[in-house]
Amino acid sequence: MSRLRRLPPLLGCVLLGCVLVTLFAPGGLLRRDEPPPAPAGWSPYDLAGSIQAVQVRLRRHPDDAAAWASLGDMYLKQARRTADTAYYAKAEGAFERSLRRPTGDGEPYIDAVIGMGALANARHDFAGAVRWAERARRAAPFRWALYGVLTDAHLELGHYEQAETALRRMLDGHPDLASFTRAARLEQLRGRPGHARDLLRRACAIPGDPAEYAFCQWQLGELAWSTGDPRTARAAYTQALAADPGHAPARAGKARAEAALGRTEQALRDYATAVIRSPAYVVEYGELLEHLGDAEGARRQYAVFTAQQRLLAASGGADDLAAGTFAANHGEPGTAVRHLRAEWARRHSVEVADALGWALHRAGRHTEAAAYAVRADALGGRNALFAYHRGEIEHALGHTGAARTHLTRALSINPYFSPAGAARARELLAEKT
Amino acid sequence: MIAALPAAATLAATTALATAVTPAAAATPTAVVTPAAAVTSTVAVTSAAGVSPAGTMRPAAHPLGNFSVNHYDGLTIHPDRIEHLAVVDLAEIPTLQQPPIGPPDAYARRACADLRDAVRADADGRTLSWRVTGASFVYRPGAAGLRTSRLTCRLTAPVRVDRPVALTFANAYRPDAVGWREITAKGQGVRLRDSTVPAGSVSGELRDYPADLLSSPLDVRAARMTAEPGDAGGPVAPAGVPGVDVVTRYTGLLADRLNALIGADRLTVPLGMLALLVSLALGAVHAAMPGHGKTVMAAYLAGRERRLRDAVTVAATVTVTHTAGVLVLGVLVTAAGVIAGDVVLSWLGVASGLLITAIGAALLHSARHHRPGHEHGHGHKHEHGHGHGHGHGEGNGRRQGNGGGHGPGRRPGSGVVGLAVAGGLVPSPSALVVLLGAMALGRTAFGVLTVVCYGLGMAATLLVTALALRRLGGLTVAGRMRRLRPYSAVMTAALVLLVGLGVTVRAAAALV
Repeated sequence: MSRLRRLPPLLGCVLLGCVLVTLFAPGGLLRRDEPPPAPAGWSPYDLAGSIQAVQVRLRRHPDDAAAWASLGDMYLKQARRTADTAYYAKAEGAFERSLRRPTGDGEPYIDAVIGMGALANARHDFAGAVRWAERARRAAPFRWALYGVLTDAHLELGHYEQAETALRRMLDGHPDLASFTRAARLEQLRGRPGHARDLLRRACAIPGDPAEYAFCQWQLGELAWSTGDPRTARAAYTQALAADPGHAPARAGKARAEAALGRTEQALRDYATAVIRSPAYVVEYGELLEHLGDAEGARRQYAVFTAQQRLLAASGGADDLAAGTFAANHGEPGTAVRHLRAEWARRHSVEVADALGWALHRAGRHTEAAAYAVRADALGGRNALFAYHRGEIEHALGHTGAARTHLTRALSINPYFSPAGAARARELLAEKT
Repeated sequence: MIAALPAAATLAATTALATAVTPAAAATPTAVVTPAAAVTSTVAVTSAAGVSPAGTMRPAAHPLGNFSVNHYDGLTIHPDRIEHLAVVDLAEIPTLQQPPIGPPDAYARRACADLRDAVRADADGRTLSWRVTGASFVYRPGAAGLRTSRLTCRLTAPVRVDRPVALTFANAYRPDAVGWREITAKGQGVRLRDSTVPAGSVSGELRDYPADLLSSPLDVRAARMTAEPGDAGGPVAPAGVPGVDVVTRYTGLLADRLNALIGADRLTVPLGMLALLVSLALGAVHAAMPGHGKTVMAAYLAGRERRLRDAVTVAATVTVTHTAGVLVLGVLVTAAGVIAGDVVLSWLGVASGLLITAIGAALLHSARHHRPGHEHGHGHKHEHGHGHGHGHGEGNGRRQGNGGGHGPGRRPGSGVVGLAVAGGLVPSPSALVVLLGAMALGRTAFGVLTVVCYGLGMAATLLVTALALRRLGGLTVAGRMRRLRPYSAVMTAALVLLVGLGVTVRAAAALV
């Protein structure tokens, strides 16, 4: 009897259990969906995979301003990794989509504003980058990324004080790889390679993805190279390439170091690989070929450079600094001065000052050239090429003593700064003794 | 050279920014991005400030960058051979870098021979030998008065598909250059199974690249498939996107909203209050979600004692454990960026499951030992509990079943508190994401406050559940349930044990 009375509640429990199982068991009605299986070999460093994930999300939520901004950021990163400028247009499109969708307070999503600044920097529109970054700063002064954009833009524009202020802000708030590498650059510009090296070593010790590590090692290589130590530079470039075999700047740097160490065959092979990944190094490559007596090979590389400049000009992004520097060194000083005056009107960085001074010297206007050469050295940076150019200009002006000083300084900073330039400096010094 | 530096340095900043939020992204799939959808506003901001002059005009260059080398490999598998159509589309710079020497036809034949040597294909482990049957090379006008070029090679290799044949294919021709890489495979007179590549080209064999912002250039360098005799069947349709249930979808939206609030550029007082309210609501919903049977059960165990204090103890324990868990995990993830958040979560899930299982086992053990002869101890025990009056959580499911006075050596209430700890032990991923997001923005204190609110929300749900069960138990069910009383302890214990095992298995499954 009592057994019979217990039956309905027991049945009720069983029924309830069945209902719960139907609802929540795997494959049940209210089961929370599992994340879709990640593609094989996906790792947090798989940029292409991350891009795909955001793309999938955006197909389902096309109004997601934050996702558009992060997609733009990833396209920019992809542009850096592959040296493929086609990603700039994609990044711009993504940022613009994000900017069109204001967030809760009616303002655009701030990462998109910062991203537009980073994109402007990448396209050498430094004034534009400053405008975007300042706009981001007004809206969100604690977004550290904006100070990176601001620092880079000011460094390129030659506003070194502002660059330092922005960088200090960034270092205070967010001491990381991005701020350390920038600080190292500023230290180097101010002629303190020791500090720069310490900063870069600290940056390299921060765990990051292989591409970041490669970037950092490449910077260490550039620093070692600029202080006349091709052996250390080559070791750093090799480290960078071990982390990211496709890193074109490190490949070109290694080629330069190999050439300095007399390993010409290896240097030519590395240059050939580098220019396939990125045409930014064709002039260097051509100059090495020319120095080695291969005029035809050099001409081919120069033709690629000219074509690249034409393509850039056709797409509205002419690079006057590169074009002017090339023209000054390859027999068109008039064109060079025109390009570089245009660049100088836009920005007053030491690099442009040096290039313009050199172009004016090649065009025979030595007095004017000397003024720019002084400006190039004004920051106190130890740059062998600048010192050589200044020495040449002083020589042309007949100031033998000053010329000697600068030429000696150039060779003491980095005796390998340029295959042809270093030889010429030695010649001039020998001539006067 | 110098000009190339700033671009790279700038991008390093964005790289670092992205890495800073990676742990959060790893914690939940919904956290990859922080959406602020569903907000429509009229403010248009497309070009309010400095659009770069370079950004305004962009005449047609090669769609994939003017130094890309783009590859297409179209495989057609016949019963007796594989035909391979290889197209290489060279943009302006590569065309110039390696200009064809000699007449185009001779150059095309040479280039196709190189390509043939770079192609690796196996049928059941046997390397196929390719023969060039056609080669052509043409120039096409490109940007800025330059030329692009297009190399087309037709290759063929014998293979016999009279039984299932496993095919692999890889093309290593000019592997260094950037560019589009696409492989397709289709069967003609044979059926393809498990193909890793599609049957049709999305780029029209490199003539029309998708310009959509949401598609990346393809980078497929190898393919694998099985060819079987029979007529070509269409490729199997991909499985549908997994559905999301309604509750998850709306909580997801709520969590996204919270993230957007925390990440707002200017944090005003009303905005902050709103964020705290949203996190309270999220916590409440989170506690009611499936997977929190354990916490509800703890509430139920407490509720059966009909003592508000026990319910409050449970709720407080859940809140404290959860908040502490999120904070500790947040600090761990931030301090040692290498710990993948989801792995930690899974391990915590396992720990929580094991804890519940152990409690269930203990309950079952004592229930089986003390079941007979204590069927009517309820009222007595209730007063007994009052009389004790020390410490938290005298209320105890075990005792209820056992009747009072047993097990004097045990700490009263440890089972309930244990269940509450287990319930709070696994930090909610959304709370963790919110905390990490706030930390990344330098708003750590606010993030902690949000997490506390989240825990309070969970506690509120548990309290309400406990109180509701208490009322229900008092009203209707009690009379009928009395009949079940002799078994209730065993049933409760078994249920706790089962839930514990379920939680453990589920969490462990996520680990492997």
